Amino acid sequence: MTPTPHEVLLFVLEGQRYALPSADVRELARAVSLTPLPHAPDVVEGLLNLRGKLLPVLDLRRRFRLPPRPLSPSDHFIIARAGPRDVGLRVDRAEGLLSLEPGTLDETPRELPGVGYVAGAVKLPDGLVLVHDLRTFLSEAESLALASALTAVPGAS
Amino acid sequence: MPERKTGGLDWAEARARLERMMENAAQADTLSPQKAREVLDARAQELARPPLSERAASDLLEVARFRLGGQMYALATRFLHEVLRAPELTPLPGAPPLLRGLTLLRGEVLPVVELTPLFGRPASGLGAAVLVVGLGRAELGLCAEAVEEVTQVPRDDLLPVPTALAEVGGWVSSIHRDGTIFLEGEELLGDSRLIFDISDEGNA
Repeated sequence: MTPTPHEVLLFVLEGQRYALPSADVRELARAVSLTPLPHAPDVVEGLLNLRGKLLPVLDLRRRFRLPPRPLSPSDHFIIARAGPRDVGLRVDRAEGLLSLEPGTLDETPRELPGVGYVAGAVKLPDGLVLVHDLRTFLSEAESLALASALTAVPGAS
Repeated sequence: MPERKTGGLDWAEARARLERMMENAAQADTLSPQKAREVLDARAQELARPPLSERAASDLLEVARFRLGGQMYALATRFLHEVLRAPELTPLPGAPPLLRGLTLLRGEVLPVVELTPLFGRPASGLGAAVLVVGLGRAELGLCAEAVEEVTQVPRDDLLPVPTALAEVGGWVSSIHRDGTIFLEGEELLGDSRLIFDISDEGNA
């Protein structure tokens, strides 16, 4: 019996590829202007109005300690499930889905300082790609701060 | 002016110049900050709209509207890869007036054309922006004075092509009520007049 191949969404930041489990990905959108969210944790770049639903957009550059860059029309947003809520992730480019052959995903979970747990690493011909686990992407403290910042905004989830 | 074929182009010179352009084009953003902000704001409004019914969604066409020679054009965004602001063009001696020149896009040579001659007008020579278009990859650059907006247009607002324009080929899909010419991307990219052999041996 062959295990079902996992599927991941590949995306790029500063020329470096990362991945998310495709099961967590809801939707992709081109970057749009964001509304600042007061009192939100630093990792939150702003609020996105997605067809009437307000979602926090997280700045992955800050989380991965990459040089900051202002929002550009060429950026993409990945709308994804992060534990209890949907979030937007700003990335340079979403590359597409990749079906993983059995054996290409190393599922030894490991904790990266400041990034939370990584669901695993995919071995691709051109190198390793870390698959991020969004459930642990926000720290407890950030999650609480975000929740309280969101309660101040009517219509935010 | 003597007739020269592209084969007589000083490629070493052209390449050197393209190299220099590459260095200059290290600007990541191809839009001015203000333009970028406008694009992002417009998209934010689009995205914030409550979902339309499925039927309504199929009646909307997402297009980029751009201006050239006093005329507005629109092209479906699925053909549009990016917009370059004032890229440096390397003109080709003896090229048809349609072909404004070559530019470099991330190391690939991209032919840049101006559409006005296809409409029987003289080439305007204007063009502060170049729309990079193609099916799945960058195939062609289109000159534009300005890219106005990316917008969703209800198909109901589109009128059939008047006979006067029908002769320019199949790549006008329709005319908007406001006079914008809607281009048919697939026809445009498949038009032999817009396919240039820019290899060393080519006599485009």
